[in-house]
Amino acid sequence: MEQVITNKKAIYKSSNVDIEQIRETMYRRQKAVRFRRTALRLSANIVMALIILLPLLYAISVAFMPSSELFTTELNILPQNPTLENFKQALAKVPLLRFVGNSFLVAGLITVGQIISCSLAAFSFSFLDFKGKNILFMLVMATMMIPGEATIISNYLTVSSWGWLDSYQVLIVPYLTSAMGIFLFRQFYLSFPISLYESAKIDGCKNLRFIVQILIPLTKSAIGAMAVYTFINAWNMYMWPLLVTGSDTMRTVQIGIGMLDSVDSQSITLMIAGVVMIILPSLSIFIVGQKQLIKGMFSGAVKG
Amino acid sequence: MTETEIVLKNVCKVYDNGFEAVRDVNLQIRPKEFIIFVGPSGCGKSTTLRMIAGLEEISSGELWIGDVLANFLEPKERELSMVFQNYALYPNMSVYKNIAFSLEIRGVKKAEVDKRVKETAKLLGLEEVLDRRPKDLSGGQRQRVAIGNAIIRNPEILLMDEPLSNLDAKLRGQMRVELAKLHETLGNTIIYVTHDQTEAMTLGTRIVVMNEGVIQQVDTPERLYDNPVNQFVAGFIGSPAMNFIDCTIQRNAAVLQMGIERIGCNAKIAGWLEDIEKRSDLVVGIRPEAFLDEYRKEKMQRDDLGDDQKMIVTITHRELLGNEVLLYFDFCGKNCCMKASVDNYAKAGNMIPVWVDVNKIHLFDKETGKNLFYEKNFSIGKEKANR
Repeated sequence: MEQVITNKKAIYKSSNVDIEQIRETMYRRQKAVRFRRTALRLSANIVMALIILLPLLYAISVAFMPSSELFTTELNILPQNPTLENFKQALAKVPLLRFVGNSFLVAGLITVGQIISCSLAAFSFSFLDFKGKNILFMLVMATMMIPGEATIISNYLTVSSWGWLDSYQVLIVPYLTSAMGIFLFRQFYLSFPISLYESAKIDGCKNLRFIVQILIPLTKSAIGAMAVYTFINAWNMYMWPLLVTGSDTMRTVQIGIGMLDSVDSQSITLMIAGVVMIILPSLSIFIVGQKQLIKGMFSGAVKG
Repeated sequence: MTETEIVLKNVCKVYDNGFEAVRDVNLQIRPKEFIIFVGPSGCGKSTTLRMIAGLEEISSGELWIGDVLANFLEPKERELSMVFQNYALYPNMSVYKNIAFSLEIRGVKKAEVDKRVKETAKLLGLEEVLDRRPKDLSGGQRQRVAIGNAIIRNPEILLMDEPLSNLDAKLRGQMRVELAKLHETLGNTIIYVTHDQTEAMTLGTRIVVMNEGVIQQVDTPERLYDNPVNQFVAGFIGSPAMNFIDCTIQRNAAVLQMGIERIGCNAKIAGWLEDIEKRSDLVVGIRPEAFLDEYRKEKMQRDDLGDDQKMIVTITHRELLGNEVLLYFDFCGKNCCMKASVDNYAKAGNMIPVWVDVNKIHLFDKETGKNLFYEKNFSIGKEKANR
């Protein structure tokens, strides 16, 4: 090693090269290489993103087109005469704002309910020891195997016999817990150091206090992930609300969009304007929560 | 302050799959003792500790804390505290909150909590870091916070589950000294689990050696070292470990026959040998310091060791530890280790004379592992203690 260094020094000395200058050029070259690499990666990403987003972007563009522009033989990617007429018509035709409000209320309450019920259930499945714990957990998991469509008729008969049809509770109550949520939280809690729980127990901490004061603050990312996931799912619910709601006051937004489509006067631009409007809330939720979602999904699944 | 005695009576732990983690543990822990559970991993020492803490159910047997049968008490009701191996600090709380947590749960008044936290922090040298989060602390500081959390309630019984094993060697040494001091200051009963026999030897007032769920021996560090009850304890306590060599005793001869090597015994050992059935399936245990090289023999003025105890060995390896040297040599097919003087410059390949200090040898039954000199040594130990 020393030999090599002295050799190099000898070369520098003999060829009279300024070391500072060499360092400068090397630094610049390295910087250029790094810049080129980043640029390449970035442009590849942008191209891929554009391809994936193309339908969405086209929908936004269509929403601003008068329908005459859509139904031509030419391909109009961008509206020639942008107009807000579609949005106005969509809002006039159905009470879209009311639907959005309904959906927010329903999805919000479902989210809160699921987080509370699932985290508590997952807590007992991962921290407490009781007889039949594994069998019970298997039963919970087994409910995931049954498609919702298979039980939807019997559920409908149940709620209708209670006289719950066309109300908020019929939209919310059946979804207040989910096996998926319990599973997600449990996986997350399994990677939680058990000695913290034991230490709290010896300190004299009750279970509920442990959950509120230690477990929840430490599993914020799981809760965030769960919240985003649940909210978007609830927002996108279609089958159940279609079945149990009848009046405009109780309909959720996905049904409302369906109402924009009528056999007599089908207007694609109108429908797409409606769709664009209702995508925005769920999209914004996703943008706000995406960091949590990705973090939560990974740390729960991979480590657990 | 502490007057609580802990008694374990025939305590067992059997898991659902039938695995017996702890078998028939009988132990009396006196107030103010610093008792150490030591053993290889999986020997049941942690399980025993966790049963005392109430984190693990006791399958059968009785656990008495003071005059209360504690088998079915919640951990909180046992009024003890515990330090965990991985510290178990609450990452979302500051050091102050971490230390104060158990008091806050018990509804102690704020001013009192504040006073106690400050006192504890001072005792442990944590005053500067009270506002920080556990993740911003060094390993040693974290350990101290964990100890702070445990001692702030002034518990009569403090449990520690390998508290130093996550620290580096130097810090471990420091913390060991501090723990000993802490025990002196607080005067509570400490039950401490470790697999490190150095910690066990330096800290404990009594040591419980466990293996495969069974208590092997309970004794003071000194007596454990000088008079192990069986081959397992002898091999586990002491570093470097005791050398075990197969040997035979012959009828009417005070001689240990180890392969081709014969070691003559002095009068004391010869007397002991007389009471032992003469047979060939024995193991002699010699600690590294019971082999003397010529320098140490001279220094210790052991002129009583003559040619009968001398043998010539070929060194295979040399380790310099600074103030002493470990020499390894093959003897009767076993690689043995001896402590030698630093003046001994013997290198691998050299042949040197070595004397066996026969006063310090142990003799084990090869099959049961029992120390055949245990009773004899025990009475000597008693005499020593009486004097």
